[in-house]
Amino acid sequence: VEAGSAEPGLGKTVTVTVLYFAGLSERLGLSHDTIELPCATTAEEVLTTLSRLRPAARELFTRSRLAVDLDFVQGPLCLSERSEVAVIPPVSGG
Amino acid sequence: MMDTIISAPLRHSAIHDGPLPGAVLAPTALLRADHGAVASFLGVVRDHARGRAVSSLHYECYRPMAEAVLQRLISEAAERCDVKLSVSIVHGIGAMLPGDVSVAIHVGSAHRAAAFEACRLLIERLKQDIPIWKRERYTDGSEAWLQGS
Repeated sequence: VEAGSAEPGLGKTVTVTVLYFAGLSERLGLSHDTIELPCATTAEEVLTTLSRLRPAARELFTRSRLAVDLDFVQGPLCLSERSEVAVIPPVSGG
Repeated sequence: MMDTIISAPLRHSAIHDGPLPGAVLAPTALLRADHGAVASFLGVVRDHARGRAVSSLHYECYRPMAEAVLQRLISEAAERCDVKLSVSIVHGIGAMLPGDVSVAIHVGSAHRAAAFEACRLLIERLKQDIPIWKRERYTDGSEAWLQGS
């Protein structure tokens, strides 16, 4: 028996589309990424994974916030196929 | 005998394509007998930023989230300042020129303290949270994203 297999859902992954905006999107030359992430993760882990995947914007990722389903998130997260994930670089509205 | 008129607070928020039109600059919809005070804030595109002359701006927006954030900010302001607060917030996106109005916030309350407080809270929280980004174009032809302001 593999370690962890006793707990259902542990180690499961999900494929999500991550949206990029403004200076972040411009730096990467991309409006989004489609990546596989653990279902059970944290906002901080998602940002770290993305900054490793796209080191060209590593510094900007450290100053960005994660949003899931149109709201900012921090800490533990449950992602599904339907989650709308977005990286929000420092905003400048108003 | 007096009639009792119970009117629900007005709660309106929108993202508008382009500079805000004259119709949303005045708090006409909030002029009601239950609001003894109406406070307004207009954000105007400046012709200079950090010592540079600005010729135009472009606002990019993550629209569905921006709309959701505006609704949440209105609920937060009502909870903190006055449950009977009326609020209208409209934010413009896209191309703008100096002098254009980019955001209009109107707040109506029974008394001035709650109206001023909620209006200030709404613009400060909007600037922290609304997923809108400003790209400035300067008179020398160069451009830059503003990252936090």
